[in-house]
Amino acid sequence: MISGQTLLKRGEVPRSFFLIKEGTFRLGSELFKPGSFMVAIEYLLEESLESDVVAETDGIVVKYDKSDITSNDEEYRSILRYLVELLSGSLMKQVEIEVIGDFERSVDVAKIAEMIDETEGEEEILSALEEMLSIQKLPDLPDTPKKAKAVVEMVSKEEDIIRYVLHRLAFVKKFPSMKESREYILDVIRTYMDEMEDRYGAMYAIKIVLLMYPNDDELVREALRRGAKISRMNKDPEWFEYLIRFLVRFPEEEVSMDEIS
Amino acid sequence: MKSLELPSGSIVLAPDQVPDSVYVLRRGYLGIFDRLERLMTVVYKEEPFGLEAIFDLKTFMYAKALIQIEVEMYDPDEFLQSLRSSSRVDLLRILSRRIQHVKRRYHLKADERMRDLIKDFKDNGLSNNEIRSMALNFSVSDALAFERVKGEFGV
Repeated sequence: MISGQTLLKRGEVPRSFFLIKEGTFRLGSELFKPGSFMVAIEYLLEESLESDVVAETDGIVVKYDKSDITSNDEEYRSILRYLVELLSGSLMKQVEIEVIGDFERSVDVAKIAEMIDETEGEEEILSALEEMLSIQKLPDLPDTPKKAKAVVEMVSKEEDIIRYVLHRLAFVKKFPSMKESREYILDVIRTYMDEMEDRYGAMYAIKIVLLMYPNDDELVREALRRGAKISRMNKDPEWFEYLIRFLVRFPEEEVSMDEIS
Repeated sequence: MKSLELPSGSIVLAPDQVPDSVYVLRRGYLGIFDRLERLMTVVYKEEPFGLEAIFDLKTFMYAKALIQIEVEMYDPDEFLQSLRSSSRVDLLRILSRRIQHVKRRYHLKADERMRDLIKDFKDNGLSNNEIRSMALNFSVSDALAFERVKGEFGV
């Protein structure tokens, strides 16, 4: 292949997949170097490509299809290894994994068990599980802050605590500079953590504060303290980073380990 | 090969460990969760997991029983050798499906997310100086993404 040449086009369903022997190839924002397999997943799942596959440099690729997979032990092992490495996360870790732009809830295994008990038929169970894997969206709010606020204030915590937090999050996302957003995001953090015991939801809201309100001392103070606490509860080494950020930001203040344990 | 029954909530695989066996789920449903306990994908009946054992790789996710399950545990090399050629492609397909699920959950990459964020800041009237001072508080990964894309917005 020559640099700049298109190997496969966007929208195509690959009829084979490729091992890169030399050179660099691009699929969307992903770069593939020698030793990588390209479009193996799209080939196996018969899915269309989301972008063109283009040679970034001159290169050589080896073409594979199913008969190659089944006939050669060594090649099978290397393809299997490639997929297992992707799945085990070692390649995933090279991709940024902090998802903030979309809202995803943590999942309570006991609730799933309850749901499966109440659902009949394997197909229904599987489609319910598949639905859980899709990203949950925030509610749509009116385009003017006044009307949006009216909608948000109508949702009562006592009636439906989940809708309560989702509506507040939607307002914050849509109107981040309104003073109500500041109150709402603090309310969301406290509700998630203190009333719902939802660490993941709380972390999501904490990250919104740190990204969008870094100059608001009161919000940042609460976010960093709670971030340290939740990270420690999750046994995540990130907790140390939150603590350091707190101490750098508020050098006159102290944090006792009791507060974040 | 050993057979095990485990109750709902049992953790079969934990992060940062190399599994000692390959497992095949015979009954029930198993979820694959990331460190933040987000459900990434589901293992269905008759499907294997813990394939990292074959290659001495660490797993970065939890495998947790969603309801009572029955699993069979295999020595990794034995499992691999026992695969008939017709099952080889099936196994690759299973893994591909799982990878697509996980990729979809992690679909927002840092640069795209940062572009959206900078655009939001600009739409809300923040000056370049204000945006740059916000970036001082970003995490390391966000800060690197910011450095990569800020030029596209003239920041």
